[in-house]
Amino acid sequence: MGSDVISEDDSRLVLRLKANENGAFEELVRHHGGRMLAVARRLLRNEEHARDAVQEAMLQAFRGMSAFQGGARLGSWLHRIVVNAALMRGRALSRRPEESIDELLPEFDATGHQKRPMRWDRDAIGMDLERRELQDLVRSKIDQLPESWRTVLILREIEGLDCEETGKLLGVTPNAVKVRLHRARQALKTLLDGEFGDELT
Amino acid sequence: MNCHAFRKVAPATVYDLANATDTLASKEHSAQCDTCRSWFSQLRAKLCKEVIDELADYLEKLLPDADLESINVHLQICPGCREYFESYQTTIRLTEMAHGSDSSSIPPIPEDLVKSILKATKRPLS
Repeated sequence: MGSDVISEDDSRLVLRLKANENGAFEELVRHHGGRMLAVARRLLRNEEHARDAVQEAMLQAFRGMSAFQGGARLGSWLHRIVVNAALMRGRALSRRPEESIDELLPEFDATGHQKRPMRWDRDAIGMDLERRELQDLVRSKIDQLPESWRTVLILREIEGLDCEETGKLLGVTPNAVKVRLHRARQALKTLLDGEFGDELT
Repeated sequence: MNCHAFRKVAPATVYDLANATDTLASKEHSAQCDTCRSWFSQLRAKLCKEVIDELADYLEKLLPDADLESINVHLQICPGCREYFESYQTTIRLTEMAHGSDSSSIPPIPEDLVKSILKATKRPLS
């Protein structure tokens, strides 16, 4: 999560880190490592790569600490570093050609009407499934999205980055991020139609 | 009809949904009021495809007022788009929830990874 939480503990920790105090870096690793690993897992979906990304991010933080000016915003700074490290690793790994998202987008007839309008049974979402089951279901659908759409969805909707930051990290314009996010939501909706939707007559 | 009332009623006339009295009163108002006439000239009926394409901007209110209004009215009259809009919003909520967990439930970093990181920081920097 893009936590902008101001923490007094973190301000003190930053002072101790900058003073090179014994044990301070270990405290950073233990205090922030779990959350950073969760971010890397979300983006990379592979335990080994996620661990590598966290290690890389921690080393960058270690080296960059003397220049870090953010004080209590340590958590946000580390979040950015690990997101970046995970994306770099992801890019190095995926050499597959990108799949298309077109077949998951809504279809329209010549008059601009939806070909298959759907209605979701909202009760089924709220009542039939335990929160845990629902989370697993939605995650599995998110994982079916083509990679670059999945990445944008996670960065914007889950990691809480804005279009500007997301665009910088992915090397695209903020507007391209906006379009891609909309398509990703639409595609995810189509995948969830199969679970919650019935054709609207 | 004043400007405020005109702007409430006029969008529905685009989709031929206003009653005869309102339609007439809107016509009279826009004949007299340059500002409202120019606002109204940008309003037009949107196709479902356009509405669905613009939902992200609609949600964040990033569209000009005239577009927001035509989409409001479109969503009132078109069940297919209304359902689409609702499930689109639910999709956003489900996405946020799918990976959301309170910070207390985030598992700690594994011990061997802590060791490996600490060991790496002792190495001379390359």
